[in-house]
Amino acid sequence: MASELNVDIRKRHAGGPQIAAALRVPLGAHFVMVLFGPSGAGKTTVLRAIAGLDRPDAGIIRCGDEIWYDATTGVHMPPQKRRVGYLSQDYALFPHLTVRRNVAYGAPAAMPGDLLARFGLANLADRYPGQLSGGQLQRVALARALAAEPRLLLLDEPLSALDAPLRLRLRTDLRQLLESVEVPAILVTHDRTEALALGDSIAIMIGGRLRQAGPVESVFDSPADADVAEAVGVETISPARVISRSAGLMTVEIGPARLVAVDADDPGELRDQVFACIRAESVMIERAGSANLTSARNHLPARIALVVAEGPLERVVLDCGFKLTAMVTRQSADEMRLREGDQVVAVVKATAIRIVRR
Amino acid sequence: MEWQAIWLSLRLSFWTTLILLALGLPAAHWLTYSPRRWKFLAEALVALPLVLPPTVLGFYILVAIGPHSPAGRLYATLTGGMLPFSFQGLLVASVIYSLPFAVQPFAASFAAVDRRLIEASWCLGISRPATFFRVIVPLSIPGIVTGMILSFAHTLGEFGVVLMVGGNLPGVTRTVSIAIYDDAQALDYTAAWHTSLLLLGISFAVLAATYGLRRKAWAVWPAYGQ
Amino acid sequence: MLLSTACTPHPAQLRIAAAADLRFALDDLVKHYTEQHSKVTITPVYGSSGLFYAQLSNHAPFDLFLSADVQYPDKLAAQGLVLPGSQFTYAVGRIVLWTTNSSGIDVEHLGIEALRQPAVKHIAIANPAHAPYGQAAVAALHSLGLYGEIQSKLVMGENISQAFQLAQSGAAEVGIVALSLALAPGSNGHYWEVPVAAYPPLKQGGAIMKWTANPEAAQQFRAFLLAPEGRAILKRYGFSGE
Repeated sequence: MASELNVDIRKRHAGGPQIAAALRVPLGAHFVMVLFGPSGAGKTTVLRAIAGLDRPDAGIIRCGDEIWYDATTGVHMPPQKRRVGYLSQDYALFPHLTVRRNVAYGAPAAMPGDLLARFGLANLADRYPGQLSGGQLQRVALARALAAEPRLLLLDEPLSALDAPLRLRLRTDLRQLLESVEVPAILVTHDRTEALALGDSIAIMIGGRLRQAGPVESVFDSPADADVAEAVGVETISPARVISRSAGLMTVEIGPARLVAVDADDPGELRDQVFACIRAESVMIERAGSANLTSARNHLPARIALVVAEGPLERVVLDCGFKLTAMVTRQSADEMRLREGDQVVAVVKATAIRIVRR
Repeated sequence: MEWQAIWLSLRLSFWTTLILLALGLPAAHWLTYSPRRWKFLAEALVALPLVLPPTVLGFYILVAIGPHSPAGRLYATLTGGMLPFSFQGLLVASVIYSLPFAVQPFAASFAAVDRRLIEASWCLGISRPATFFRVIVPLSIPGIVTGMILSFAHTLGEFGVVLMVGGNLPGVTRTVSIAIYDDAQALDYTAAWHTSLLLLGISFAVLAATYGLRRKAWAVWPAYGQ
Repeated sequence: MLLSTACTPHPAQLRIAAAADLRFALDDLVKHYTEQHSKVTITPVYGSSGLFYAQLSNHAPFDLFLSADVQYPDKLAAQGLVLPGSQFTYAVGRIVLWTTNSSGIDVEHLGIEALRQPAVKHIAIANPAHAPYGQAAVAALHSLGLYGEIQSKLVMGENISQAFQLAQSGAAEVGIVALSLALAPGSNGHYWEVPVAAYPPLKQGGAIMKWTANPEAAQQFRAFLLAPEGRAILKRYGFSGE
């Protein structure tokens, strides 16, 4: 029963980059793989290829025992046979059918009566898509996809069509819905918080290539290279030079400053020139002269260059000889009376500095 | 009053429209969705009756289905009859003559159907032919109706082609437009006048009814109202 | 004879492809004939002789062809499409200069000079490319020395009947039309006979098509046309005998 979806494909669009991706998704139970990356990275292409709507140039797509696509034998199973629930960004509901008819469209036999109820659509059953709100449309689209009893769900930016407050609420709904069905899903998004909230596993695509894949937390915490770090939203990515390494620690030089970081997992990979990636959440700010003993290895004198309010947080851009961004709570910033031009100390733990190759 | 001719013309238009519906939908489907490079040649061929003078068209059709032609000989062996100068011959001529008036509106409305709806249907397990009938056609109803109205009206007004291919045989191929022409030549202006007026009335009634029905279609599918 | 008495209860059907100039004459002939011969229904269809020739070459289902010339029936015979020996000449036609009573153009006194009048801006003739009466009109204009002068005023009808209609409606002030049409009841005009010497005689010929289902009926009608009674009717419409 431990079957999986195995994708390994390449495709080139006219005038665009070569798109290459290799994924594995376990079937038969709940699982959400997030396909994450900036726009134009090729995520939709991969999704459409898995659905059977576009034909790759090379590679193979295997779902359990079925070969869906094989460039060497010329096999290309049409989408009808693949039993994939594909949700495009604008939901593509049939405007000439009621909600009930839309949901029942691909259902094999009589639709299970409670499907509409489960999705909260019972009282909307006789309305037309033109009369529904964004959130309702999403539910109908999902219900329709699930009524056809798919083996796999493919969701292309399911929340992008909605405005921000609605998106937040529906993200939770979507998570619960996906958890309640025994169908794995591949979900495309370019929103970081969505990826974090919805995904079990994540695959980062940049410039058409798959760069890193793995459990969501670990990819976000340990990006494999500078591009991935940027994509997942690490605020400070600085070129650095390795000075020395010993006892599992590494000393690097960024501009005039020196930092101590934990050595990389695979030391053989790194050479002299590297990138240092530091999340803003991991940077603390101290007033000069407070001299508290902390376990942090790095205390950098810095001048506050910029303070920007972002809701409940404040983004503080520091000049330590290189640009370092920190995120502190508004409360802290007020208590410490952080102002532009102040001299402070930036405190960063060695474990919070991620060194990646250049 | 040329009742026989009027009835003949109505029958001719009706059957021509029906045949064009059956032939035109698949043809328009192919023209819209085929990826073949030489599709533009087929498009030009379909549009040809728009540009050719009716008498030229009529002449070519007469030769193409006449007793000396392969098509004519086949028909003779199958049915023992002759295509030109018969109602069936007029049908063939009318279908060719009104072809672009059906196919072009059909194809235009198919092309306007959102591709993503078609793909959604495929992903839900529905085959291409079934998708055509369950998604594309319902969303193309206004265009299909337009094509049918145009074919009907166009056939009703046919003259040159019918005269060439039909031979003006009373009760068989003497359509109302020929009958009016004939009456005028026989200096029977009263008959010509009366028949013309009735034809005008029938045409207008058909058009008004069909446009009126199209309005109703918008109430059935609210999507069109947007 | 034997075949027809072997009894079809339905009357025999005869379809005649008739030149446009015969419209009123043939209607009259058919009326007289069927009064005496009730077992036959005759349906004349009028049109351009040239068009009929094209259609008959493609086996149009007419039993009898009455052309406005002899060449078309001859050509059909050459193609082997007529019953052998069934060709005949049934009349000689005449052309006239015709104008409506209300046009104010006195063709009867002006004769051919009427065409030179400034009031005459359009002269209707049948299309000489395929209509024998049109060809005769053009021949007459040439031989009377007017062709070059009035050529720009010519308007063409698809057949002689349509040319007559153009003149009748006033769209053309004068028409060069068949005498048989000018003599039709209700034509409401006056005319001048173009001198016979000015154009080759309009010998009108006919033939029985070989595919006719009623050859005897066709033969009988043909005989009627050539008999004194038929000739008398034709004469009333300005047709002369051979």
